[in-house]
Amino acid sequence: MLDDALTARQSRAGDASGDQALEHAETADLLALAATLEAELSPEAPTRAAVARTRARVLNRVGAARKSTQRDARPRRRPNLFRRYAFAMASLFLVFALLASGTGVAYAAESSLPGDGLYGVKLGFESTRLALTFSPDARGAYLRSLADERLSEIQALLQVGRDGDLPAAVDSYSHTLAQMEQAAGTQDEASLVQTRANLDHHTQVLQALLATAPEPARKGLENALTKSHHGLDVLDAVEQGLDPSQLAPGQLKKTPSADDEPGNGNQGNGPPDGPPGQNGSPGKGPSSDHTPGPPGGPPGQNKDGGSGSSGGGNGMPGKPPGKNK
Amino acid sequence: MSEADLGQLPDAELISRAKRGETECFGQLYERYVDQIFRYVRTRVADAQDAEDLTENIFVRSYESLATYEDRGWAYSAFLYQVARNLLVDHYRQTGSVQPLEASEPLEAAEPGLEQRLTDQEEIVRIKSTMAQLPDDYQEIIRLRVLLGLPTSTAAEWMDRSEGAARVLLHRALKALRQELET
Repeated sequence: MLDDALTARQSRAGDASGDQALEHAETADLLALAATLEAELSPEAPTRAAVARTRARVLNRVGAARKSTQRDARPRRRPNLFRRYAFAMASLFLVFALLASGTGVAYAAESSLPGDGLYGVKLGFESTRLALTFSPDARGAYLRSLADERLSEIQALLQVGRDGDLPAAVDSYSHTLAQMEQAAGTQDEASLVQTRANLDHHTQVLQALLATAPEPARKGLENALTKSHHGLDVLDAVEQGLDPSQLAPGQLKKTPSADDEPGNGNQGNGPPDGPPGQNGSPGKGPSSDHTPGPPGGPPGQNKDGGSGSSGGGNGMPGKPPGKNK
Repeated sequence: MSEADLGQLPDAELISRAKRGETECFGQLYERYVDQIFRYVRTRVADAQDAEDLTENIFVRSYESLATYEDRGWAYSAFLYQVARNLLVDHYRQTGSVQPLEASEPLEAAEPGLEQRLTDQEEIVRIKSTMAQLPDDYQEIIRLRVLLGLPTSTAAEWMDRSEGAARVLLHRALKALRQELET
């Protein structure tokens, strides 16, 4: 009743139901109270100016919020690798352009040898290309070609009689083989077979070179041969599921052999450093009993080591690999 | 579409268009409900400028919530009311105030009938103060039905009650207020 009466009073209708409600004293009291409240406390409507002002602000903010939402909804551009590395790529491109251009620098560097002024450029070019080769097999193939190139450099230096530059060439060769060994752990079987074939070829070439090399060049060639043998050992280790890093540079695996018994002169875990055919000179102790191995013999088959063999050959037999410098 | 044409569209259509980016449709919704919302806010805050600012924020907030607003038969005005209540709670937290107890218009001593007006003013303050002691839903039904003059159906919808429940609530609220004022 009160609600009806209030509605009637608010609408100024004064209809029958409202009049009827007013007959009740309590309802009349409450209705009077409501009237007082409405008269005294009812808030005024906003002025038209306030409405227009607030409307403009609301629509401005709504428009801004909409634009912001559209921006947020736009797919965020993913960091583009090309953009991120744009500067580095541009630099590399410039290097490539310079090296590949007809200035002659690239050609000259490409045919340079250790000790030449442009040899550093050549190595830099190779290093850049290697850094941009990400596929394990492609990386392995490129490293094989680099190892072949290093071997060719050694051959070329010997042919022109630049023995003095041979240590630098052997260093480069060793460095490349180390990279190749490291990459072996990520290559597939076919790639490993190819790497083994390359290294086998290297050992044959180096042994052949050693057979005819002048004395000053021998030490370097022997070191290179040791590195190639080590590379083959690393491949063995990889095929056995071992980590290439388990064979540290200069550490060659022990190849089981009937001669590898205590007292037979073989020192520990590796073949002698001396190339086959070079360790058969009469020595002291057991090593003098062994016949020099043929050129190209597999590692571990050189029986010339031994506790008393340090005086044999060129002094390398019996020393652990890597200590023949 | 002209403003007059927009004025003919139901809330649901305006909301749908506003969601699609037609801000003028939202402007129409604003025109439709600004009086109710501003007056409701004005019953809850003492300062007119605060009420204006809050009203602005209520409409902006409601627009931001349009994307998740689902028309389940709720009146848009009831949605605005809920937004208003939430923002008022935030406002009270920030200002520490609860109810407008002061008169909105300052008195001038030189005016005739000052004594009567002062008496009236005291009575108003007393009524407001007494009202503030009532349960929240009592206060709210008095605000909506008496102070704002909303229809019972609208007040019931805003308070999420049936119309019968709203009527009973109003009766009890006024009765409780009268009893408090008589003590």
